[in-house]
Amino acid sequence: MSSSIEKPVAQKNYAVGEPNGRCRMRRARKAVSLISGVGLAIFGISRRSWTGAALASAGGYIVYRGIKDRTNGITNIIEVSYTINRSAEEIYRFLRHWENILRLVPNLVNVHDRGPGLALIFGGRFGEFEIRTQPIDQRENQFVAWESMADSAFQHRGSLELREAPGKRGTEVTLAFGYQLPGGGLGRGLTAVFGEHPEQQVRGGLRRLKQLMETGEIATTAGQPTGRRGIKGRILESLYREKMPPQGVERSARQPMIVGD
Amino acid sequence: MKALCWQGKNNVQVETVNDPGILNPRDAIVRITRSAICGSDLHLYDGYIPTMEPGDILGHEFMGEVVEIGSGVKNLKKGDRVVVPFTIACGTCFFCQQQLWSSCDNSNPNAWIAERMYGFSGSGLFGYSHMLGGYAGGQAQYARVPFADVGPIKIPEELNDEQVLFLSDIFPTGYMAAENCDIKPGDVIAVWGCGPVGQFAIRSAFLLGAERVIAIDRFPERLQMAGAGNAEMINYEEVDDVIEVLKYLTGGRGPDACIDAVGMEAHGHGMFSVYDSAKLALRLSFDRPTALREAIQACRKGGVLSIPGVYGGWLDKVPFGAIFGKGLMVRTGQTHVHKYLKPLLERVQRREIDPSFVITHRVSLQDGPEAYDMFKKKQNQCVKVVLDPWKEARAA
Ligand SMILES: NC(=O)c1ccc[n+]([C@@H]2O[C@H](COP(=O)([O-])OP(=O)(O)OC[C@H]3O[C@@H](n4cnc5c(N)ncnc54)[C@H](O)[C@@H]3O)[C@@H](O)[C@H]2O)c1
Ligand SMILES: [Zn+2]
Ligand SMILES: [Zn+2]
Repeated sequence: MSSSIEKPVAQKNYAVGEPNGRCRMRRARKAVSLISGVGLAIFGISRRSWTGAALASAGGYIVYRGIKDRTNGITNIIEVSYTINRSAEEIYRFLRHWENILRLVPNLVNVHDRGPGLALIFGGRFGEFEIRTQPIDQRENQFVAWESMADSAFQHRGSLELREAPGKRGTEVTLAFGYQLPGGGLGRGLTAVFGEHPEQQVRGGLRRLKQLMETGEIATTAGQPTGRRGIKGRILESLYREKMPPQGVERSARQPMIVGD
Repeated sequence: MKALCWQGKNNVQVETVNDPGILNPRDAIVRITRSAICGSDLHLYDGYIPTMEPGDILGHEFMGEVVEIGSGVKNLKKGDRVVVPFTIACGTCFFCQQQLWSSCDNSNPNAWIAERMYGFSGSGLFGYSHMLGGYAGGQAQYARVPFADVGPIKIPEELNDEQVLFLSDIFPTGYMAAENCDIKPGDVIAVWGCGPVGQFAIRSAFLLGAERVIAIDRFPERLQMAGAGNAEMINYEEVDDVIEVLKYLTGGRGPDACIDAVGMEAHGHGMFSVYDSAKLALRLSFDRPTALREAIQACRKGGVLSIPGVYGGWLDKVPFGAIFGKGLMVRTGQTHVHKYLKPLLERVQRREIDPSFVITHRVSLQDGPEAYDMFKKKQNQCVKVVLDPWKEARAA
């Protein structure tokens, strides 16, 4: 199915006072980052056509606007853009490989394609959580958009767009994500697993994509020698996330299990 | 292996740490044969650069022999003798392709910290705080070199270590500072700071065709070294007003370009220095831009202000009106070392310059901590210290 909108974001008018999502983000500290996870996972999984089930006529742009709409209970909004020195085709193709997705997405353990929708299993030291989400539209080499299933405990919607950058600078990649953190135990659990800085995690995910696409590896210092850290050094070490291995290095060999379909 | 580790302000220690290993396909491991202490290391030593951790391995000016390579490195082999640029760069991002190597997009694992401070992050550096990558440095016996397929330059046998070691930083840094001055025939260049960076800026300015170079410092041995490189000298402690002297020396025009090779820890003199000290004591500011202020004031109309000296945060009482009023061009930043490796190596091969002239002290890694102290206090006429990481091992 097709949409008549060619370049979704090109039509967006930044001058028309968009509410500042970042400030709100900071206030809403206790939040979750699934963002890159959910979005990128959909790229990887959608080997069959989703467009049939999608609100395709709405097109990516409408979905994108929808993410920025704070009604419907979505109050936390994150938007991150990076320019990647590769063509949209290369990036799109790259994202369709599972091994690549796993290197990008923190804490994504498994994906079940149950149809309708996907169950994404995120895990960490504190337990596992299932996120139910569904792609709502995608156009090859241009965008993909998704939102939570009605029965998902975690309400969210997001889009990832690829636009050609001017002057042969590659492709502008924008990830927009809106979400509402569930209350109670699940909300606290999600926060524990994903950390309290969702925007940083989104940036991290997109930056890893950029690094992999441009250099073939993810810059890291995890595992390098150091002198005596002492107590102060160890606190700083965790603050600067030194011990965090580059995502997926130790599990890149593992194939995720895709159940169903 | 043995390494010099930062353990806090004025505290560097020799420690035994693990040997580095390959972490990424484009890495190489270098067995370090010579390493140097830089004026930039003094900013760490003095505690001016944020995001250092106790235990960080220092050092960013080093060279050695390739002993291990990752699967992605095709242009090097074990046994190659290389100099390693202090900036870490991927070679494929937009910035690397524009030769803006120290702005590489992909080499800083902690880019998020720098993004918060500066809006965007520069490249990762060896041994220079976590904000700039947190990479273990080269004042050690071995170092891991990321993106080894684009950084290190192979050194021909006929040149010894001391002749090429400074390709890693200070020679390109002084050269870029001079290149940024757009030197034309007849130009007079003034250089604040006769440390190693200033020394290379002076010689590079002549290599690039400057008519005259005026060097400003207060240590006689450093001024003499500048003089040996044909610069005229001003000891700012022996004159009333540097700016007036510069006017006199340039027939009232002012220098065509001014190089600040001093940076954030300039020695205070003149009317704002008391004010700077008070602000520093109150922790309201951590940079002391004495030399920068003078350079701005002294520069001729339409001239160039070239700033290789390192600044970290916010500057106070910088006469921006003078920059505007005279239409100065300001150029600064970490050196794009990769860009200069080959052309400067060729200049060394052609004997146009022998960079080892700045070396005043050669010590073992074991003596590193004292060397830091001596270099900081400018004792024993110290200008540049070179470390030999294997001296004790060989003697044993
Ligand atoms: N841009 C880069 O990539 C880069 C690379 C290397 C070093 N640097 C920086 O360059 C600067 C100099 O490095 P260095 O190794 O030569 O250090 P250094 O400490 O040996 O030299 C600094 C010199 O400046 C002199 N000085 C201090 N206050 C002065 C003043 N008010 N007027 C005139 N001279 C004054 C000192 O006496 C000293 O000789 C440092 O800030 C260093 O961090 C920058
Ligand atoms: Zn240096
Ligand atoms: Zn790069």
